[in-house]
Amino acid sequence: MSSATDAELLASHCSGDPQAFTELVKRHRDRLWAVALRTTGDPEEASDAVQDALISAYRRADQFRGESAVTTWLHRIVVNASLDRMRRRAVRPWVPLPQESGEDGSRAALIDDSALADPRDAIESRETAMEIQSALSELRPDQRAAIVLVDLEGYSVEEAARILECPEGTVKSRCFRGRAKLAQRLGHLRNPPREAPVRTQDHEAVKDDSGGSADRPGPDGGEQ
Amino acid sequence: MSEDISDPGTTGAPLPPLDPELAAWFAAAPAPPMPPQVWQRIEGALAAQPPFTPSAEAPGTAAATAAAPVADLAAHREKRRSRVLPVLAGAAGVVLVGAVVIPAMRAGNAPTDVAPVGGGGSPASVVAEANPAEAPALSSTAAPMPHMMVSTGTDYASAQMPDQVAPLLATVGLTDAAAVATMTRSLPTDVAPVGDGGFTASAESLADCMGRLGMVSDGDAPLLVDRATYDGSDVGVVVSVESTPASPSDPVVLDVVVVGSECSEADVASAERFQVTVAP
Repeated sequence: MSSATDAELLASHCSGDPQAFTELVKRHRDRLWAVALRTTGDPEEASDAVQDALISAYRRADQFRGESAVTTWLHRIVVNASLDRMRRRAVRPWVPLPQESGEDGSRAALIDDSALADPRDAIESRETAMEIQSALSELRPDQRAAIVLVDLEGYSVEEAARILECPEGTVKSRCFRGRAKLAQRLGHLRNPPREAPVRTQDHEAVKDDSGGSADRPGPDGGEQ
Repeated sequence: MSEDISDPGTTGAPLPPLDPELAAWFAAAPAPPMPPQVWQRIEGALAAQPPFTPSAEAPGTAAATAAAPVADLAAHREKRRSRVLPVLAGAAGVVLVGAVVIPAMRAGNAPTDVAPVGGGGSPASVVAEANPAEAPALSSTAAPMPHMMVSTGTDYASAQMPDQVAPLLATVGLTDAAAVATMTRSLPTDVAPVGDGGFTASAESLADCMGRLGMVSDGDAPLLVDRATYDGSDVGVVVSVESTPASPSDPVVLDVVVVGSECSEADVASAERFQVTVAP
């Protein structure tokens, strides 16, 4: 079973193999989780989104046509589930607070501490992670998803376009504009004071500061 | 940084490399792997799914499964009213026996005053927290609250009941009679609402439903409620202990009630009931 390709596992699932789908998901769970976590910014939402997505994929397996990689298909479903949860949550947006990052709290789960040998690095990286997640949460969801896929998870623009089901120009535009906002928003990290004042939650959770025209698609799929 | 560069989405130029500082910040905050408890929950939810059947969902309709419309169970009731389901063997020590569909519920209809519930914990509370961030936990003094509420997304099928209950029980850790007894002895803890509507969405509606199902005292507190679908209808699957075993070495019989998601009088009248025996 472990030597089977993703497509073979999916086919086995459709043929009634009760273990095949779980085996398939097990291979990609960490990357799917990372995308959902970065897109939603909340571990609870991410876990619900991934579960919803995978159950949907389990049931819709025969709708996979092989026009893209199985992982692309899975990522598409997870991203859509994550964005759907963000849309539903938009009526009462979550504003990340630094003090919410309790030791076992959900916010603390935004970073992989185990990858950092020095505890001081872990603390600083956790603070950085919180800053990044906070900044990401201020992006429009479509920009956030593009940034997460391309810049955080390393997908090519082409792959991200397939996952997001939009033109490559749209992905590039979303990344371009999202990066600009992140660079501005995270500028203070360039020279972080050791005793930085605690940021309050008076910033707007979702704020499009581009004057409104940024939402409209450009002529070749790009966004102005 | 890159504000002065034209948007590559409109110019057709390649996306520029990520700004080194942004790249460094991103690299400094690697995403963690999926937590084991999340994987356990997802694995359990997948295990609770019925075997894949291509005809279960026609292309183009799959997206609607997460929010299956509420449908009247009465249509299913007639065809199953006197059906005796086969004896089935479950997984992980759960033995499923006599599965007679009993349309009518217990006698009690109206909720009565009972002692307040709350505090304590359950052995599978992590699994039970389906949407802890969504809304305040439910608690009620009007009727016994379930020990846990989950939303597995399982599409229960009448033809596959009660064997589909076994994966649900395994998901929440009720794999043997001892686990059932442990949960039964614990006080029902506050549970988070699940679902966007229906009887599990608020303390009041949950209490009303428990009362309609005849659960009027702490001893009647159901073990769990699973919001799911049943033959495509939005339902709650309520699992409670039918009889307390005389000794720890005896099996325990569970009542499984499938009731429409609104838990109206009509839903209760058309609810379906199965029994499952959990081995010691």
